[in-house]
Amino acid sequence: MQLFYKKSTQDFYIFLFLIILSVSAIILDNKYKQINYIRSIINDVIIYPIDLISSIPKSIVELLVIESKEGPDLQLKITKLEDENLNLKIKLQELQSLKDENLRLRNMAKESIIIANKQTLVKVISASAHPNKKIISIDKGRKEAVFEGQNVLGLKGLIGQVIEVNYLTSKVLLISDLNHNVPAQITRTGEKLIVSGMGRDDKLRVSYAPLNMNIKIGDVVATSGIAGRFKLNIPIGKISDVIYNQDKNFIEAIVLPYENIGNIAELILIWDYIPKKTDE
Amino acid sequence: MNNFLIISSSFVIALLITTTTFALGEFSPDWIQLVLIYWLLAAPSAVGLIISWLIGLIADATLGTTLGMHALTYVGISFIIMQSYKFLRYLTVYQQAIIIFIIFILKYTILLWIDRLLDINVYTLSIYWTPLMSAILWPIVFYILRFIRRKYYIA
Repeated sequence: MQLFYKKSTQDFYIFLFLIILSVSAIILDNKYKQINYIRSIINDVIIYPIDLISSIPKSIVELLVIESKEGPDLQLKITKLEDENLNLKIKLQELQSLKDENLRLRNMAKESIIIANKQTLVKVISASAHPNKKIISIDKGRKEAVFEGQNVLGLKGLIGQVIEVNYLTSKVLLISDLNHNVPAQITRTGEKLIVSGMGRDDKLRVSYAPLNMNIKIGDVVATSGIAGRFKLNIPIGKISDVIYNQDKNFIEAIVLPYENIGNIAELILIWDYIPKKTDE
Repeated sequence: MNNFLIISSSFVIALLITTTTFALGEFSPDWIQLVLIYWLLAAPSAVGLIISWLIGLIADATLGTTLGMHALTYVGISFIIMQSYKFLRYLTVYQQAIIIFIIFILKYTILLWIDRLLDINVYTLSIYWTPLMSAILWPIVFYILRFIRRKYYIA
């Protein structure tokens, strides 16, 4: 009986101690971001291997698919790619001259237009790394000097931003997340608007645009660089639908992103833009 | 040693299933907590409060929540289960599922409360699907883990 009593009170004190520890961990993590390194240690030591294990079946299937492709098929693909390469090279020359001209013009206006001088291709290791948010994890981390807030692009347009950096992996918040907003502009007119996620991969939304805004179906939307989160002039998508809502006194619009945001295997990190730190 | 190996690998598998079922959102059951509850009931000498806390911390890192949030609820639930061990052990699996449903409702209410208190807003009210799915899947988890426990003689 004495022993049972002793064990019980010991448990109670451990319980109390752990509760206090948890509460202080919550406060530290929420207020001061001091214990982020504990999170990255857990992520690197435990979750990274688990992610790797869970991606084994997928990579085996992919390997089999590649193996089963026959020779002629590949030959055909190679000729097609060579053709494409040639065409692109010719186009690139045109583009280079246009770029130079544009740069010269922009220099007069003192604005930079180049999307990125240095970029890195990264792979997605888990397409959904959070149960309630649109977050993916990528295979580069602090080891490759990835930093928080870094802009993440696809081949065609904006994807999101880095929100958590561990030693070997990082997490990227997608622009399609329900709580994510991007300061943007219509490239045709330069008018500013805010593009928000809808929690869906194929659609983004402009919730509040003034009624007198010059906005048409087919307009290209790009980042505006306001607030210093995203670099200027990264393309986002095209306006696919404009809803005039007279009662509410603003325009709603739907933006079709250029990138297939939720289902993408390779992403690009850009290095020459460092976002402004905001006090959150 | 054998006990430790089997129990920790069951937690690794629970983490694996958790990360692969992220796509289901709130309809994905709370695998880690279910496995933890099973071991608390089946092998109370092997897992205690401190291990529950560490697993909660790992769950926090996996789920991307504020560190300590899940650790707090894990410790609380483990304490409740350790105290009412004698009562819970002799219930049938389906009665246990009902108790687990109630405990999980409590857990997610606390999580939602912390979430709103700190103004993080990750969770919405649809998070309450998780207790239901977890309670429905409890018998499956129970029988699979009992099979493993009997095969490897873990007490």
